Amino acid sequence: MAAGCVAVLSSCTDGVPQSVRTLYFDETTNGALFVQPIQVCNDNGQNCAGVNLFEDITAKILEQARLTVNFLPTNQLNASRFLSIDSGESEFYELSRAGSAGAFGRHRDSTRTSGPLNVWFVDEFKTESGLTQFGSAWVDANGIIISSATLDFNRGQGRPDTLAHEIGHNLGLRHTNLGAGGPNNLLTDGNNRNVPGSVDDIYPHGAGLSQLTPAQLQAIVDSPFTSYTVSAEADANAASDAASYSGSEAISADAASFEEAAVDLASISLTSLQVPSGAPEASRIPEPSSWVAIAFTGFSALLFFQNRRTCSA
Amino acid sequence: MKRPPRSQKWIVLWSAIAVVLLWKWANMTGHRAESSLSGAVLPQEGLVNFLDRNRADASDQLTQPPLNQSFETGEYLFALTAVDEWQTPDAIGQLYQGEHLLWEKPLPQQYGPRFVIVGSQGQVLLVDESINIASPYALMLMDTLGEPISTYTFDDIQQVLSVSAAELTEQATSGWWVASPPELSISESISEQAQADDNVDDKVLEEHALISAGGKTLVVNLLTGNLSVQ
Repeated sequence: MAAGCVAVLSSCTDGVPQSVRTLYFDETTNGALFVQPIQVCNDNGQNCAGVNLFEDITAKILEQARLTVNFLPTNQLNASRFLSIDSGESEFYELSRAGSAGAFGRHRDSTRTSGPLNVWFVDEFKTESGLTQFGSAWVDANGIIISSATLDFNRGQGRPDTLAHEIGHNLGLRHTNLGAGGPNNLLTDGNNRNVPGSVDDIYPHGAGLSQLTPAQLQAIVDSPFTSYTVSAEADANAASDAASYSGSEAISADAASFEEAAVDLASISLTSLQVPSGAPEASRIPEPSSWVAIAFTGFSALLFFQNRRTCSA
Repeated sequence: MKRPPRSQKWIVLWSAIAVVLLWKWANMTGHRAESSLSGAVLPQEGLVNFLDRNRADASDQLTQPPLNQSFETGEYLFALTAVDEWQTPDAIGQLYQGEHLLWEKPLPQQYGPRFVIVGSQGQVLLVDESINIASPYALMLMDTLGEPISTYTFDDIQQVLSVSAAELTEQATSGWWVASPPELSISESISEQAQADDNVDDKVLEEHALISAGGKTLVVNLLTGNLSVQ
């Protein structure tokens, strides 16, 4: 019985509401964001898609939100079929959501709404004819795809604001809200957004590109993917967070088989299922299956005690 | 009612506990019988539901120009063509005088120039690139042989306009600096020599492209390639 109680309680703790964040963006806040790059290669680990994080530009853009971007060591996903992502988004969904923690090169602490943002670098992201696709992302959820067109752009110099643009989507920003739409705003769509050539073009310097409006900055603060603190604690926490994330790992998963992508039970400790220290607070609501199990257990216990009472009477 | 043996109750209870533990184990390993689209720390959710909530034109993409475009003034026609249907950003330019091909060459502008002005004497002015960058080919004037008369970078334009890069980009509606599509302006004037000779019939044809940028009008002389500001 004691074991049953423990099992029930451990499930219940998943559903405990997290504290509501009431932090407002101003000069006293400092935040951290973690990015997990994933390089997609063929099944043999060769012919890998190119990776370029444009770290200096991405970091400077997000500095506007007083956000320190931490680029984690690149993971490798050996799966030929993901070198070219279909336009129907089911493959992107699969990469982002299928399998267990750490599947498809994802960071083990990543969830749909928390942890490091997973960024897959692929050869191609197919789209309808007449469009060149540089990147794609879920809005307000974890997962970014960057295609090689981003690296080939502008005679091979690259399209350096694409990653920051897609990160903005994961953080909840869209093309047409919170002030986006002008030529110098980071979240404006690709047809109308001016692309920086170097870090010197980024707001507040030079051409003043890749700007974020106050409303966008506040949305970034509110995102569960960012962790903000008052300035004095920010640096210490960022360092702590960085130390808590492990190094790169090569994933030799044939993505067609989720079993192969799944992590062995023995390798999962309870701590690996917790939100990492200092990382964004996540809403961890139990899956429907867990609720069924909890209900079943409770119902069994009820039957047991009712039966006992009846018999005693 | 016959009371079930105590051991039977414990079997029921421990079975329930086992179900819970098995369920959690299945979640953690991803070995789910009914659906593999789930994970240890990822909530179970269908693709359609997920897309409904999280997909909203969140791509960074560029609309490619038409595969074939043409620009005509008088008897001259400039044709702009994608080399491989925009599989690459390479474009080819061709200038025709009537049916006669005057020149044909690959253009340096990615996805071709954003705007084209053809002069009445066969000059071709290529304005900006179609990829929203500070282009090294902000302006390129070609003669009837396809040779460049002059080429200006974005920095050159900024210098001539004397407007900061931030102001230029902020006011631009196409790319980094163009605020409105260029216009061809043709006028006649009397040369200084003709004025001195009092010969009002000796007129000179002047052609300019007028381009709004940074709150000013950039004037491109289509004969010389010289720039001035209005």
